[in-house]
Amino acid sequence: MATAATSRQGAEEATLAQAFARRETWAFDEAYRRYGSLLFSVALNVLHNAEEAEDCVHDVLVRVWKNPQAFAVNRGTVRAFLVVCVRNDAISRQRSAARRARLSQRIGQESEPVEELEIEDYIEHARVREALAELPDEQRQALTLAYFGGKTHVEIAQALDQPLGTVKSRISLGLRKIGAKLAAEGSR
Amino acid sequence: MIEHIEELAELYVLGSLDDLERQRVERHVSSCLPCATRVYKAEQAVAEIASGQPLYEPSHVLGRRLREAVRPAVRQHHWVTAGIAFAAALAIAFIPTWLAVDRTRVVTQAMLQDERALARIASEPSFNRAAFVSTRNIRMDAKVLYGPRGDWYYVVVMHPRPGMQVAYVHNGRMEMLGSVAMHGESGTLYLPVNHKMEQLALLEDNTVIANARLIY
Repeated sequence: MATAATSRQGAEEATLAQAFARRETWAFDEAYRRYGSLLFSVALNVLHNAEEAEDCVHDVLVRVWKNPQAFAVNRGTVRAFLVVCVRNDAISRQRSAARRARLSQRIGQESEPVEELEIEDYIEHARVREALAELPDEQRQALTLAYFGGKTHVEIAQALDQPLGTVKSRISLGLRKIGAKLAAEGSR
Repeated sequence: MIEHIEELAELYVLGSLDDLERQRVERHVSSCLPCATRVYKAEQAVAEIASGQPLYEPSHVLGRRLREAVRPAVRQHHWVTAGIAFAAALAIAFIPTWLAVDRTRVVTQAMLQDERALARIASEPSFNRAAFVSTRNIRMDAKVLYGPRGDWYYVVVMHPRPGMQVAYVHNGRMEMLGSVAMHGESGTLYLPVNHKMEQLALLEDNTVIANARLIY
């Protein structure tokens, strides 16, 4: 039964992806209905501000929809594509806010305090938490700083006092391991 | 020699690269399938991690803002589509082979959609159906089959005409859902939309020609 449901879900995702790539209106509405909460949560987890998170989701979805080349059927699921687009946009906004704050401080103006992201494991689902826990410490630490901290690899290398190449490899390997583990679980 | 992006793929997806590196990855991925596939796999992994985090609901305002922002783009898209269709019509005289290939692609996509719809219908213990009633008092052979939970819809139009569209009618407003794909004597549109819709309209040249009332 679970296999039939998974296969049906896969077929529906494929249908949605094709319609989204053809920019059929129902596909936009359906993508938002299915993934709206997830996208908003992704933005909120980075920005920690509901209004900014909604602006982020709004701007990304409109930008993606108005650019016919943004999504192609062969690039995977609509869900993964939109999650990454929203997350990266949220990180850019967060970094811009931090840059503005640093600049304001430097020129002696009063600035809005920018909340530092807390790097903590606030994963709810056991399977994702377990997949993270199974990573070697150094990979989990680097990946946590990249994913939850939204930090660049240069910042992570500085924070961990490790060579840049080592940090890149740890992040990359950690994410690939998590992806393989969760994909294997999903297909079971 | 091609220099693949290797581990930059995962860093790119995580948003950990600076602007220059990001642009390099984007340039490379646009023409390298193995690296593009690695990027898509990384995207999938990031989406899985994201789905493990607590979910929060956005306000209703966001949905409304999105609909308002996207609808004009859709109308504009129809003009673009019309332009493309016109260009395609001109090309018919000169590139019949290309047209045949393109038509095959469209028909294949429609067949694939039908296959999914039929698989869905076959997997349901029961399903509902409603007939489209013409607004012009003419005989109309069009139906919508739909899930009892309102989680899928399959519109079938016999002897369809080109450019027919299906819309959701709600609170006096119409939202376009998609175009009827023509193949042979029938035209179909499969909508795996998980939302109970009470009324669907069939349109031709942006004019409603029939309505179907759906009961759950």
